[in-house]
Amino acid sequence: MQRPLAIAIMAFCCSALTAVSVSAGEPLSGAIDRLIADGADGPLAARSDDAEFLRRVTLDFVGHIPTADSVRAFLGDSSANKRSMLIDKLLAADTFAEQWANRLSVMMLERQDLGKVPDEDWLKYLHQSLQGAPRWNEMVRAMIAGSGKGEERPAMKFLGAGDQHRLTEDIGRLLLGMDLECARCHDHPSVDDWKQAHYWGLFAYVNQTKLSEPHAVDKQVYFVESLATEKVEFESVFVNGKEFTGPKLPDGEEVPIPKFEKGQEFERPAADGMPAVPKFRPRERLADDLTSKSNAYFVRNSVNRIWFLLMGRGLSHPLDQMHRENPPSHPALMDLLAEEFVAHEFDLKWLLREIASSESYQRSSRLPDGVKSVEPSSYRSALHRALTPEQLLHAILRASGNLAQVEAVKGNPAAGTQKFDQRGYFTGTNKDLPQSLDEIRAIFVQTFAQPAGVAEVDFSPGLNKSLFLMNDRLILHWLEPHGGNLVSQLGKENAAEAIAENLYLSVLSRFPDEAEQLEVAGYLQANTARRDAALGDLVWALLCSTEFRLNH
Amino acid sequence: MNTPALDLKQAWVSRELAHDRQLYRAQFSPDGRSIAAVGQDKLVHIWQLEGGENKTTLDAHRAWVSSMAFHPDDDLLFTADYHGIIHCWNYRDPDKGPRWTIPDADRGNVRALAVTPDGHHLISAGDDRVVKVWSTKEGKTVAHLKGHAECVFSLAISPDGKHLVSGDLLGIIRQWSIGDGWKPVRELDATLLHTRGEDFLADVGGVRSFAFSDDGKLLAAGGMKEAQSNAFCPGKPTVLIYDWASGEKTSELGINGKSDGPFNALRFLGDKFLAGHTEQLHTPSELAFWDIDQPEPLHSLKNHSAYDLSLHPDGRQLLAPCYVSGGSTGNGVRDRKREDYTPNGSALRIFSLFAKPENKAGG
Amino acid sequence: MMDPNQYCQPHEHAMSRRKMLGVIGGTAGFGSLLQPAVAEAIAKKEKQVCLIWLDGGMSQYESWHPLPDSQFAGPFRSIKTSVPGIHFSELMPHTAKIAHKISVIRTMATQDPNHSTGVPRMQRGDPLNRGVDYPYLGSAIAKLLGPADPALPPYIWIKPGNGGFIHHEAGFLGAKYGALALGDGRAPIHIHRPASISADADAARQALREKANERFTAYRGAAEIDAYETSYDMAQQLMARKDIFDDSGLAPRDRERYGQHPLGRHILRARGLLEAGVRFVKVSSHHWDTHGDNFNMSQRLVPQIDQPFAALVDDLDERGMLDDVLVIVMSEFGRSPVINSRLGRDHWPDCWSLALAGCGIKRGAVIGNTTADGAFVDDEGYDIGDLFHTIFTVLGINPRRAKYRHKGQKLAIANDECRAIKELML
Repeated sequence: MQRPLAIAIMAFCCSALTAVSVSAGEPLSGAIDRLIADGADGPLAARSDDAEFLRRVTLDFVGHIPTADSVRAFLGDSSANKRSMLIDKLLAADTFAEQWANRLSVMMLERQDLGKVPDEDWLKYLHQSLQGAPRWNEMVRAMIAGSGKGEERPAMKFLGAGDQHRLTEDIGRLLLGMDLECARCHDHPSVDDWKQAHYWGLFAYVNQTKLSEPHAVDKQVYFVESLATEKVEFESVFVNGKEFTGPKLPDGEEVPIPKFEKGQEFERPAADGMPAVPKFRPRERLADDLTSKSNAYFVRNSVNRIWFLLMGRGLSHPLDQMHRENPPSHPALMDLLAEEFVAHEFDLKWLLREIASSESYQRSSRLPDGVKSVEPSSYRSALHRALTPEQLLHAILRASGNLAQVEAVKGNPAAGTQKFDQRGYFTGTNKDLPQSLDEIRAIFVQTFAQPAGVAEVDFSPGLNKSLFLMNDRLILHWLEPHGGNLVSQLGKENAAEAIAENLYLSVLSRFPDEAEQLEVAGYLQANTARRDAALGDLVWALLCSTEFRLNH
Repeated sequence: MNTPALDLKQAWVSRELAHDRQLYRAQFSPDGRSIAAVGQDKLVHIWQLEGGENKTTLDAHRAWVSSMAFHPDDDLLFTADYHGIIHCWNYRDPDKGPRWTIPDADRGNVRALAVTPDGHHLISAGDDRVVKVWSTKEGKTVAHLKGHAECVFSLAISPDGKHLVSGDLLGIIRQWSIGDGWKPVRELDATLLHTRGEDFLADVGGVRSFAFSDDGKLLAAGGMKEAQSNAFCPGKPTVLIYDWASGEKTSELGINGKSDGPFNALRFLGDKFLAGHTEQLHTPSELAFWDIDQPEPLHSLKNHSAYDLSLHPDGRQLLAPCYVSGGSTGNGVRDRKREDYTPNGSALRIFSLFAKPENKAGG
Repeated sequence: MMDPNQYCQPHEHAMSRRKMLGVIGGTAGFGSLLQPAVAEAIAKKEKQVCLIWLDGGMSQYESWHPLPDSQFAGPFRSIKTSVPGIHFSELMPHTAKIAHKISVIRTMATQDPNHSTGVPRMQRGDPLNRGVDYPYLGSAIAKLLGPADPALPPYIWIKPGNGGFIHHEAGFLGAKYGALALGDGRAPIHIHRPASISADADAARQALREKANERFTAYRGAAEIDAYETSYDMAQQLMARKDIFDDSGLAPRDRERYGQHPLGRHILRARGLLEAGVRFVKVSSHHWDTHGDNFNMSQRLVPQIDQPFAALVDDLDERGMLDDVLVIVMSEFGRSPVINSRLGRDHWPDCWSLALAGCGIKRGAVIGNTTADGAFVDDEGYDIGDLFHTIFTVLGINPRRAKYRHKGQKLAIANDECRAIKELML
């Protein structure tokens, strides 16, 4: 019988510890750089310049591009530690919580809106959790336990509508790095490490879970567990013979199903329309077992995903293929991140700070001199990452100077109560423009996001998305001069140099070089008869540029 | 003979007749002494239950036999197949061919047959959407009842012999008066048993089975709701109960365990107990018993997919043709030898609905 | 056979994007930039492909290989076809009438019984493992032959649900060779340039954008950059040829003949794209994986391919296109002879059927001997790699000599251990 994977990993961790543990005084960020440099098969890119860094870290931490003024200020600041101070400032901002609520929501729910918790409440809950010093294990524990009570109620949105098989697969993929879908009916056909027993052991934690009827008093629905009396039975469609398992995490201990005397199984009798509460509640147990420090799958998956969100590629990639035939690109680094995350009690902001403080994160995305290409898994240069649909929207609004106008519409009673006909907008029957940020965001999500249920990991540019940016009425509306937006501001300037500077600082968050300045001047000169439109063209061209579209 | 008390929670398999091909319909003869069963092998199988399992076959169909019905009095058995052919047999006389044949009872599958209690009329329905009435004597056309917009899966006749119900793929139940012009009376809504998701290529589900309570006050309609796809066609097996007088749907019954196929068969046991069987992919399905005042079964037995239920005239035994794996089910041939790759079979299981006697061996 | 050096096609290197942009907004494609004789020569050779993909596995017992007397047969009859001695299922009456125009392989024997791995393997031709993601057939043809009309995307995919640009099918070839997907066959919604922007103004702003990208691309090697730029190129090309989505001229009789159901409409749309000169059109239909209720479902599904496939073959024939357009109808496998406990059939890669018609394919050939019950191959059978060798060969590509070049290696375009199916080719 093969050694369980976790033991193998732990053994490796132990041996790795003596070789590569953080030496006294070496921050994690330093260790990251050392291990990345050790694994590099060629020269490393130079450090990012200030503009590159400012834009990147602002997008990553608070989901915005910096304003033209912030760019000027940061570039003009001569303090030696301005980068680390910026990181601290961003981590403490309320917009950090807002942006990361969104990113974690997309990661955990993949834009599905299932179950009885409104999206609004869920996002607000995540937002609150991310203020202060959020601990990732606690956040996940609340999502699995799904008590449905008090302030933690929205956490149960992760449990969706209580579809037990879907939940088993989601937990596998999103929390353990294991895509177990194929293991439901038989041992995984191509991944030796993943067995049908893994699937059903996980399933046995959640197979008593379901949504209740509304509570007689507070009218809310809750997740309840019925009485577990037997192990779960499963059979491979390939191999005859029934097998049985109780709740069991991969390489974890099987949880024995307690036998109670008849009449003794329940802790609380049925009341108020709620069923009786059994003493043994496997899903509640899962909340603890899954998020335990000793669950290597959970710890490694967590650090892998956090690393991915900042660095653009998991150390283990794809993110749900963490098994021995797909080892991490930097095994010692993976072990170290896991170990340190546990040592710091799953402190999310701490880990983000450490990664962002590393040279590996702050490296430029421009290739080292003389190098034509690098392997993405080497991190020798920073990776190019897509802006999320929400980031793209906000960036376009801020860059084009229309953000204030749109935000003013939210909460404006005159904005109207009729639901905006989004389908008609895309088929051409609705000739209106969306007004509020919510309506506009929905348009952007439909155009740029992955379909519901698909992980948002890779950049997937599309002809339809480019056509949108080219021809959509809303985009073009933002490029007409009104409400103090960028085009209207640029229209008030005379000097081409000032126009170029404002344009590039606002849209690309950097100063233009000489060639770019000349191009702006030349373009305006050639289009004096249609100056406003020409200014719109200039803004449009940069908004649709690759430099704008990507986080680099 | 001592009729044991009905005790559904003690139901047990008292007899099993094996067959090497899948059988989809099985019924007790009206005198309870024989069983007829039909299915994939195109034959009509007759077993005598007493006197050492005497078995005969009736051979005339050239396609899967999809439905059957006994005449209540005469020794007649009606069988119909996927190619729209109905044969009438004297089942005690296996060496003779059919008494009569309707060669074109449907342009496709004849999915259901029923015989009126007075024995005069045979009703058939299926793919061509028309409920047809024939004389049992000679198989002559009596009436064509039109109105269904999709294929008809099921038929039943009310215990008083006055009304006929037919159920279709779209979840519509049509009620017709028997005799006296064979008129449409009303429609009952069972559309819950039909699903057509936006990306489906076909309608899924339908009213697959009926049962009337003995006193005729209730009609049960069986199928499945909330089908997830038209590929695996998994859904939630569901029984709808209607108050016959008002036509109102009064309750919805489900199962305890895991099963994702429709209720293929329902049988009332008296006025308020109901039995139903579903089907499930690969793993065991469920024979469920309800007190119809409760939505959850009062008792269930794990049993592989079964496609019919027949109640013995003594009211104490249920017959179900059940799927039996031949060991070759599943994706691809894999490690099996070609010669070992064989079709799945059946077991005709008789469930005795009372406690197993203490001294009875085997079972 | 094409010289492998011809894979350095003008459309790849010599014609820069600027030159391409030069013809945007006009009606001419490349043809106007080439000598008339050369243009004509190119026009003569253009082969096209239409792949109809029935995702999930259509049952061969209920379609191409009925065998009603087999112990594994379903309940449906078989019917005579226009090829003496050959029968199809009664669920395919239209195709039975034109069987003499098509060919069928009845002994596909492939390795993968799963969808998630089987679908990509079949669509990639199951090449030998070289540590890279091979392209799907459409992307492969887009690379090997390029666009038939340079102004049109070489690979268009008509599918249910949403459209977009699906670049993962291109594998190691790069996003540029992905598929433009039309959701429900619809033209992308934003294909019309608003009235507020003239063609000249559009050209001017695009030029600014291009220049910005050129500056940005220096010193960067990321695949994401290439993919983003390509999406704009394709957007503009498509705008210039949006006439290919205009079906206002379609005869009502055509809509009837193909059927109003999604697969019928989509195959009719595919005909239009083939007529317009798109190199490779894939039409996909989903939910054919009838593990449950296979017979009721087949009864309703199989006619949905029968009707429009027959209409397409007839129409291509009528238009004189059948010699140059290759049509393929297939799934990732067939369905099990053994019927399961839900009256369904499971997966069956061991012995299944697919159909081909057109370019370089014999007419009326039905090849492959199975055991009498249809369950197994009774001769050698054919692998998907053999099919790919055949496809490349009839399209004028030498499947052994042609190679992809990737990161310094030369990679075979089809499984080295397979070979073209002579019995199928003219």
